[in-house]
Amino acid sequence: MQNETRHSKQKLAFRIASIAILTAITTVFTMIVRIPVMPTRGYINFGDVAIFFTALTFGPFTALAAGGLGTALADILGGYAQWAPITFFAHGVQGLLIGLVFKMIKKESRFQFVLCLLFSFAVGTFVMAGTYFVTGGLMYGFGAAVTEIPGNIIQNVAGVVIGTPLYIAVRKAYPPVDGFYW
Amino acid sequence: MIDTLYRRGDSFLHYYDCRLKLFLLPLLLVFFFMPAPWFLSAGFLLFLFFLTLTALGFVDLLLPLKMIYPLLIFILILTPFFYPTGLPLLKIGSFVFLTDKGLLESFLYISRFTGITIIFFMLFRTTPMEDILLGLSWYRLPYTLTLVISVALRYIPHLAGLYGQITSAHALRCSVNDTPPRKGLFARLRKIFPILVSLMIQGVKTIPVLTMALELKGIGRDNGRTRLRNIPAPEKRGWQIFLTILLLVFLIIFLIVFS
Repeated sequence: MQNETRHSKQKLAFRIASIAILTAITTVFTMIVRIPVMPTRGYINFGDVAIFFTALTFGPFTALAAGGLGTALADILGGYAQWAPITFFAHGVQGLLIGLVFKMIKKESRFQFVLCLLFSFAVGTFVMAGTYFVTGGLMYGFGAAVTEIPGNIIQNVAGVVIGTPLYIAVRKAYPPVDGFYW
Repeated sequence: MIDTLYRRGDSFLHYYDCRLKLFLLPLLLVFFFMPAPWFLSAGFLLFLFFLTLTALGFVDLLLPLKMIYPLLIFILILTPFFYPTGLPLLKIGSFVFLTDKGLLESFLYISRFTGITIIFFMLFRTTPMEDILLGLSWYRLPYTLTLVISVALRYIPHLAGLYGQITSAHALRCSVNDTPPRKGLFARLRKIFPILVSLMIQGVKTIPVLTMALELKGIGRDNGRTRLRNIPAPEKRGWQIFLTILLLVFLIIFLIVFS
């Protein structure tokens, strides 16, 4: 019993460390690679790549915390602070759902893996783009909120297209990362 | 590259207690979503403009507006199409482009979004991130979450610097047959991918080291070795509380009278 408690407290330090580092990575990925979207002055970034990577490598709950906090911090640091609460929710839930889909569905063959990827992409995109659309609609009308949807979908496409090879490459180059999943 | 919105200054907003700012923030946001006439939203927006102008200056008033003006134009153009009823103001043939109701709704959305943007901008421009975290922990934000954010904030500049170093290291190399680099989005992505892999591995490798450091600091123990420091009380806290209450009372009265 005592051993178990000690183990869970050690786990707490590991969880704090992993969430903090992945939050910082998500913020850097969001802030460094930015492709501006001219009409709304927003940007397409690589934050979703980091979220996809985190969900696949570290599991749904790390993705929820690191994805939400990392992108929200990027908004605050980048001068788009009004979006931070919405971003926290949209990207946090997106990471959680991608991670849960990956955890629940069996991936014994390559076909199943691809199917799982497509399903998680669809779920993640629906939640993320849907959240931005609804909250944007409430804030400044659904007419202008519609213009954000294509950018959000492209961002998610980049997430799955780059995030998955990144997951495979990191696992290959640094095998201990497999033990970080929780 | 990584920079916070906060700028040092000696305006009254800089000295305003961050706990009061955090208390006011959600209430002021809610105000913009209340069913109020357009002139009330516009009046409050003008008040926010005045506050920013007097406390932060003209440049800081323009900065958030510069970031959102394309979206404001979109709102102005697209919103009237959703409100075809009302007095037609612009009509070509049988198609009504603009009605008085559409124009009012556009104005309401513009004032709401601009107001929300300015409120957030003022908070982060005049309050350091550390104070915001301490203020949030005063409102019972869990210690572990505050710790995660503060550790992440320390690592962001480090990882950004690492990204620059890895990019420079990769830039030293070229392919064996020295073919000219391809252009386009796909080529750019192929070029950036090895950098992202290196950065990710370096970042992930830091986790066990940071875990050990946190364990040594007593994280997870019952008798923790550190705690968050208290926010020092500002000099004129009584006045600040009075002003906060006064602002809220005025807003509620305006809402009741004009709604």
